[in-house]
Amino acid sequence: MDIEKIRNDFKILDKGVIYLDSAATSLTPDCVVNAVIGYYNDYNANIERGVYSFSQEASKEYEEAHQKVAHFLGASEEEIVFTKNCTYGINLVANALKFKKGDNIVTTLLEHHSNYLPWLRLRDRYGVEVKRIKPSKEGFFNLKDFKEAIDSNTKIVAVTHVSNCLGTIIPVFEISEIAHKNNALFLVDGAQSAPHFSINLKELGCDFFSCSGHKMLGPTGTGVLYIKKELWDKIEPFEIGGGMIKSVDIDDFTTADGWEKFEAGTPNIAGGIGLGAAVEYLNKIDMKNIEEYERKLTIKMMEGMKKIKNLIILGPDDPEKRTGVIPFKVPNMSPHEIAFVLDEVANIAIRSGLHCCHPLHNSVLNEPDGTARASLYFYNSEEEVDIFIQTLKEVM
Amino acid sequence: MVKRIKLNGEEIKLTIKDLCHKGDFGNYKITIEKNITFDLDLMSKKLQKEFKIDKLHKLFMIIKKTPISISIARHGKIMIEKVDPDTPEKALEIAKTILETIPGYEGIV
Repeated sequence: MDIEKIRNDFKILDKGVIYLDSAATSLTPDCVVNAVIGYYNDYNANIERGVYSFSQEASKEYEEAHQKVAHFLGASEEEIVFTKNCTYGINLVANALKFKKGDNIVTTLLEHHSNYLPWLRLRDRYGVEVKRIKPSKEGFFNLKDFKEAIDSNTKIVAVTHVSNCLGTIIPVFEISEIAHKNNALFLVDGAQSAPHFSINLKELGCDFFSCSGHKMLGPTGTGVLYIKKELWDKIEPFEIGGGMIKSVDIDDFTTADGWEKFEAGTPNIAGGIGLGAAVEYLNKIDMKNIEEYERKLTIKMMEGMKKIKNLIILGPDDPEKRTGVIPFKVPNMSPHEIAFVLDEVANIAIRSGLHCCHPLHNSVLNEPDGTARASLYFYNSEEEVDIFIQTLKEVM
Repeated sequence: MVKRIKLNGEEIKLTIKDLCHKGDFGNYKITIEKNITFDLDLMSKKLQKEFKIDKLHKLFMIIKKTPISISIARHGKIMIEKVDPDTPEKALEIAKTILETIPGYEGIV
């Protein structure tokens, strides 16, 4: 991987920012920006229904974007629904399934609010039970806890693939086996995994997989929801209207098949096409190369941070069990203070606070003020990691 | 929230934005929307006595008045943590004590 060449693809890096907040949103390469501009400048039209050439071109590009994402995730085109973000995808599933009193849902205390609040609301609406598995402080689970919690009344199990707070990689395949043994559905929140390592949804064992487009180089306002083909008939779209029908008469309607069924109304066409360009770019670099390089950077960053007296890294110590999401704390400085001074002193962008994981910080980590969090992506350089470490030493 | 302050006779925009927090306290970032360079040394000397200087760096200063913590960046940014009650008005009220240490500050418009 030629990092310098890759960095040239991201115009924003010319501003001199050391961007260590890719877990929140990634930077956008020129090819994605150009794909979005290309749609508006060259063939701006609504999709699927127009006879004229611009509409045909837009439809072709938007459909091809689904194919590119499907290829990227190891799914078939019809199984890939474009959403506006990961949160939306999970809400779509939560609102599309039918629940009754006596059902239960199994999730965890490691989850981002996006994979937590939709299930709590179902508890309040339908009286279903929400069981929450508690991780260790490093974000690890005991699979025995899932075996005990999942039973014949479990409708769905919803678990993150990678913790956005701790970087911990979760063994979702093993959890999927427990879920399916009990005839429960299995949803994976892939917001922090899909951008960083190779995913094959056929092998992952999930029924639903939701991720963000904007965390994997795509435009903001883009996301992906995988719905396993076998479930199409069981899942009702919770938004209906234009674009998602096969036929309509005065009293009735028939929905379209595949992703069209779940994309009512005019979608984010430019965003979807941009997302297609993003995964094409990632595929060109190769996710295996990205994973390997990010692991190298993660090890370098953790080793550098460990040498700083009194700095505490949270999450797994073993780099094989985590991604480049590195939360940390410093005595006598709040997470916001760390983020504030890094920005001022060296134009370093990190995130601070509770990272949309209040239950984890309250009930597991006992960190009411949250943490400072540096998160890496493949466009970060070793030199940037050195500056980050050096600046931390200077300001502490 | 957006306000305007008067500095050396000129009206300047001041933005007050809330930051991630939990519970009853609020955290706010206050930005003077103009290229400005604070003289942190001078400001530290003019601070009210109840503020304790926690860190004084050439580019930033952190001061405390339990439970409040205020970070001041040389380029016109102020962050206030543990604002109680959690309102931008209260954050602005606390920020005034800092703004008053800036030479040429004439008040909120």
